[in-house]
Amino acid sequence: MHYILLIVGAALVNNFVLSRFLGICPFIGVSKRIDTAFGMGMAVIFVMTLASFVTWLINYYLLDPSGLQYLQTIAFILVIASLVQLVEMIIQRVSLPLYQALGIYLPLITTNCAVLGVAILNIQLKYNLLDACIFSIGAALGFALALIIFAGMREDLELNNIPRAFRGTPIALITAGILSLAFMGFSGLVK
Amino acid sequence: MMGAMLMVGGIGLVAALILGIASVTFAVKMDPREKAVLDQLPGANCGACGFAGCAAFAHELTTTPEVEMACPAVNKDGLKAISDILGRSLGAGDAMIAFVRCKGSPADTITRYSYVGPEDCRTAQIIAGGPKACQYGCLGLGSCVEACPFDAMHMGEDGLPHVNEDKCTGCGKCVDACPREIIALISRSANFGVRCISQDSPKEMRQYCKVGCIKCRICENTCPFEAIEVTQGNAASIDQEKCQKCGLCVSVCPTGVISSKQPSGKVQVIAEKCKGCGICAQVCPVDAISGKPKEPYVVDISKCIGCAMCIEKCPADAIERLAR
Repeated sequence: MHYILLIVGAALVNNFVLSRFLGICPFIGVSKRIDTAFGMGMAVIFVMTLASFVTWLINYYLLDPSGLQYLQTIAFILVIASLVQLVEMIIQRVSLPLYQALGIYLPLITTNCAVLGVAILNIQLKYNLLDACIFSIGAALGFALALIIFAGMREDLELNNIPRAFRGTPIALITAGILSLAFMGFSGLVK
Repeated sequence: MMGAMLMVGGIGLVAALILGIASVTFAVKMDPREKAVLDQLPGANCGACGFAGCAAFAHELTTTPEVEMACPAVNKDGLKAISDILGRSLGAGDAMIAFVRCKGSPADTITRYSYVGPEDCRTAQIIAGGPKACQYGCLGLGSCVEACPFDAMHMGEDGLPHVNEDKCTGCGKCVDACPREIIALISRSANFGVRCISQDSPKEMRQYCKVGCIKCRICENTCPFEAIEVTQGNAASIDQEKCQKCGLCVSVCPTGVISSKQPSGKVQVIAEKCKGCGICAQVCPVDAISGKPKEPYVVDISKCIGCAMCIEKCPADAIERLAR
């Protein structure tokens, strides 16, 4: 039950994009078509889970014992960036189709603040290792969900007669705001 | 302070070591020729070659000797470079270019209803066959411009798409995007084209378009090379292989629907070479050359249309084009 609540809480109630407002750049940038949004979402799930696993270890076995918690941000960024590089190399060698499917999205995620955000939240909320992994899967699922819903809406928006001034990014931002309001309906469901 | 430096430096060092080892261990062997070929391809991933993007095509070209050059967008230099890299000669097809076969700007045509909706020709076409009264006319919403991966098209002030010949690579994306098949690929060397594909009778057409082909056959009867033809019910069409670029059709067309890329240059007789045989005066379709036998002939520049038939026929090579 605890784990289900963790996932629901991270994916819906405190959705990373729509209520924590992390990772807005890919949310607007890669949401023009559903299939690219799907690719990005899968890559985020993959990287977020790995990153929170590694950063949790770094925090509790390196930073904590030496009393250097204030290095959290820079150390995490360093670790996430090199981890993504490593994973990219391994995937390219092991599974070329997967590499081609994730494509450009994998390196893009290196600088995604949602990934750093989940790593830091894991520490702030004092999760243990399993909790942290489950939480980050939930968060990534929420990110993918928001991205795909938004991409679907934008695909439909393309077919509508939007006033000239609102075409493109303006209407996308307004839509994102309304979508965010809708997700606020979950607030209070889980802490 | 020292601890912090050591910590970040240490993490960085370990990460760098791991990445360094991984880049050797997990290195993916790629034919260096493949990368060289890829660099020569346009990189627009338009898919006109029939493969999934430029990288896939470069891979096929390098690994499979039977694969022919299927990229319509690569230029001559690129083709030569790729041939050198692969060590086999790749033949180039005739370079093609997109050509818009409609001249009916909104000012010259009539619309049946006022279309309010997405700026997309295919959507407009679905709604009762599009707002334009002519079923063969350009809808002017720019789906072809949108589809062009090379930014070679733009909507002109006349409400019709225009092709930038320097940028157009003949990939054919615009041809697929047009719901009315108005855009066609023609040979890049072609100088003339008929900007109408209407199959309606002239009487019908005159009700909604001032500039379409009225199938009067004047061009067909005028063309000295039988290169232009008006087949039953169709607009005039030019056989580019037969066309000698004389431009007579442009000058006689009553609606001005035949377009030319550049005007033909006028000609002059080189007096020293001319033997005065008079063949040029006989072949000139507009009687622009006159003279007496055995004396140098003279071209009347005001009459000459630059068709170059005289150049073709002159046995002494005594006629040359003037600079434009």
